[in-house]
Amino acid sequence: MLAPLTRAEFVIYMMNRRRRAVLVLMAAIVIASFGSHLVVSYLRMGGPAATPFVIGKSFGKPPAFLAASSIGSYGIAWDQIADDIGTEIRGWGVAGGTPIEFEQLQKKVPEARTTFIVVSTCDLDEATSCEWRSSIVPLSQAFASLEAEHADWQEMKTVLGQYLVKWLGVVFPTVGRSHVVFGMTAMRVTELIHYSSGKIEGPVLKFGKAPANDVYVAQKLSDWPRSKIITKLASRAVEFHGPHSFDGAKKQALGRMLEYANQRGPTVILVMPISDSYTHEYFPPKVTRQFETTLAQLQHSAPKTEFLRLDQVPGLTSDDNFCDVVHLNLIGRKLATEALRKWLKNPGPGRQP
Amino acid sequence: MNFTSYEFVVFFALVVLAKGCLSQFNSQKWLLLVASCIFYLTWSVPCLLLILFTAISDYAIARKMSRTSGAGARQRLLILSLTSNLGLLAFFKYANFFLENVGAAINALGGHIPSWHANIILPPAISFYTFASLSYVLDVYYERMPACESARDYALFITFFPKLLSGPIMRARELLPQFAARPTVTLEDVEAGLTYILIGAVKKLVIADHVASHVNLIFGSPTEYDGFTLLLGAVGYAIQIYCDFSGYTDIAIGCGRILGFKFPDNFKMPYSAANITEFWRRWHITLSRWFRDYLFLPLEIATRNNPSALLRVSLNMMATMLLCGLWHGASWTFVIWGGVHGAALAIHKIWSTLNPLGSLANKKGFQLLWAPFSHLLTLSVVVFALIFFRAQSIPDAMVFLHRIFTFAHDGTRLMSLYILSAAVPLVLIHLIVNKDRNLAEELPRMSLAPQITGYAGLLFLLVVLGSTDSGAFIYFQF
Repeated sequence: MLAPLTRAEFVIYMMNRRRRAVLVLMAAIVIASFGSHLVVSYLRMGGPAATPFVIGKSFGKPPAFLAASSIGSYGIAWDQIADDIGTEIRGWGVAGGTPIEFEQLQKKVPEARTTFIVVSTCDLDEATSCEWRSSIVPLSQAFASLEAEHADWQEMKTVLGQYLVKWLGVVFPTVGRSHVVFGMTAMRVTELIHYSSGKIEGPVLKFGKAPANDVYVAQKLSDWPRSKIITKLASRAVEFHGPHSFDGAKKQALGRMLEYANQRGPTVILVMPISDSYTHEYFPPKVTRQFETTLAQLQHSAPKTEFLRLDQVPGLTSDDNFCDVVHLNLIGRKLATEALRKWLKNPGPGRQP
Repeated sequence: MNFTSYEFVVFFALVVLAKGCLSQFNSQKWLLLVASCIFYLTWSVPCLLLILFTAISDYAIARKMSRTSGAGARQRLLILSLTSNLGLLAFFKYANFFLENVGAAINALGGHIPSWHANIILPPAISFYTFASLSYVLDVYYERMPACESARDYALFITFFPKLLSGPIMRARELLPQFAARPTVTLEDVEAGLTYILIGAVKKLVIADHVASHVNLIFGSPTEYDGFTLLLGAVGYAIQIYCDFSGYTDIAIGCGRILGFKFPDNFKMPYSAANITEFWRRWHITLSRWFRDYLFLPLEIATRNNPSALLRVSLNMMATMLLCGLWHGASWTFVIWGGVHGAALAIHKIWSTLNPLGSLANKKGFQLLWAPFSHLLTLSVVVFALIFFRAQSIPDAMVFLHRIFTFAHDGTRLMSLYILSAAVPLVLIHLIVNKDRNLAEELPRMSLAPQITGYAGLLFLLVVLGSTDSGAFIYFQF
């Protein structure tokens, strides 16, 4: 029979147990962190929150500022617009960017005179938020915005939770990005199966000319099998954190952007189309009416701003003109760019696309 | 306050810290009671009065019962408690169900009355705490345990926040003795508790929440999908509900453990069951034993004079499971779910008793074939019943089943990667791991390398694949 431990021996044993527990905890965190960084690297999920771009040449004139998510980058050939307006266009590409993020970036180009702001039902939908928000919008500004819009507890939790996730992301960069991991993994597997060029397929921010070999923007949503469309729509649904509405923080941020821009020069809001499939799934007529109300209120509060309704160009919302559920393909891009160029050439208010 | 929400993490940390700062056990129990009330208040402010009424009234009834020697008086007190508890449950949970069905019956007989619907809120966890309180009063009545002396301890037993919303449905004689003696929280308890919480979070955030997105799509529009997709959706729901509910239970057990209290297991790899009887010994164990001890066995005793034992047992099983289905929700789909399980249990009982293949049981070839067949049959019954459990209505469930059994080709085929990628590891785990093992208890006791591997693996899954937009746990609606 073993002799009982003395008090000293028992204390030593317990200390070792505690040290062991701490060792296990630290080792698990280090290994999980390493794995998380490895996943980000392999799936190419990293990168800056905002990528600066310059399109066109300045010709000595003040630049124009462009605020657009990938919906804007896919939808318009901005190099042609830069040529038309005779000056360079500057901005930042933010994946999934919304007016909340672009409001911060707008102030980084104070010399800009003309401002283009690209919006859509998707961009202004309060049910979604940009995953880079916490990296671009200071926490103090986030608090101020929440206070200004009298946000409820759920909204506050969603916004402030992003900052917590951002800090956790230093150790675990995949935290809060599981849907991106799933999506990128599926793309990587598809790549490996089809032995493709090694580029990740999918909407990436490229302002300027569409590369000739970008097969993604050449495809048509109308050619997709129904199951693929449903899967894509479902993958967007997991990002919704509330009901679809257009009367919240994004609308208020857009209002502030318009006020700032109007003080500097001409301001244009481009309302981009979204595919019929997406609209039919998530934006019933009642929700679409709310969108129109929001635009009308913005128009009223910023009368100097010009609105170009590309979403009302006949036939442009057809699935034939989209390479996925929200991004225009080459055909759609051509139609939208032509409409914008025609509109820019007609001086004066009340011009139609 | 959801278990997987930020505010619960903060709330729980504060409770643990505050408990640690209090040296007196009585003070700790007051703290836990107040914390439990605050936890319940985050779900519903007015219903806190209801749960406290249930706790206080049953405490008083049990005390009176224990001081009363007359059988008649004790019986009257029991009836009072049963009426009060079941009456409140019936009113808050089943009043509208009753009104709708009475109205439908009158209209079916030629009447013309508008549909009745009362604006009654459903108190969170009413099904769970009512059963917990009922079991206490019944145990005191049958003298299985003495009445609780402390109103605070009893109120804490009813409202204890880790187990309040969705169980485990604990017996008073399991938890009240733990409140009587001050628990010693060791490092092993904390490790085991954190392990339970980690495993529960992985089940909920990595598996259940992701699978749910496609399951909801499929069950939302069954006519839009082909038969194979609907079958995949049903399997997906089986995965979702298991991971969601057992994940919740793991977190509840873990929180209780860290606070120094041991809860019973509620799930023991139920999808490894070889037959439906074994399934119910592994699925929602605390509920099935409640129904066994307080409904099935009393029914057996009351009908013991029935000459046909098999018929008696089968009917009592069916009655028990029908009520079990109704307990889950005020809808005929839940009743049918219970009925399917009742029928399956009765058939298994008859089969086991008659044992028609008994002569083949010792043959190795038969065993090799029978084992996978019986497992598959059990899972098929479970998945079939879950279609009713999940469907919004009986017609929806029938459409779902019709399209599966007729291999409907029209409709989209959705090869859900979420469901398939969850199903494969779950199947492998159920095939490889012994179904009586408990990883949450074993992992903290393993040697260093396997321990680090296990925790690192779970943490890796959580940070890479864990959803941060977690929905409410499924069983919160019951």
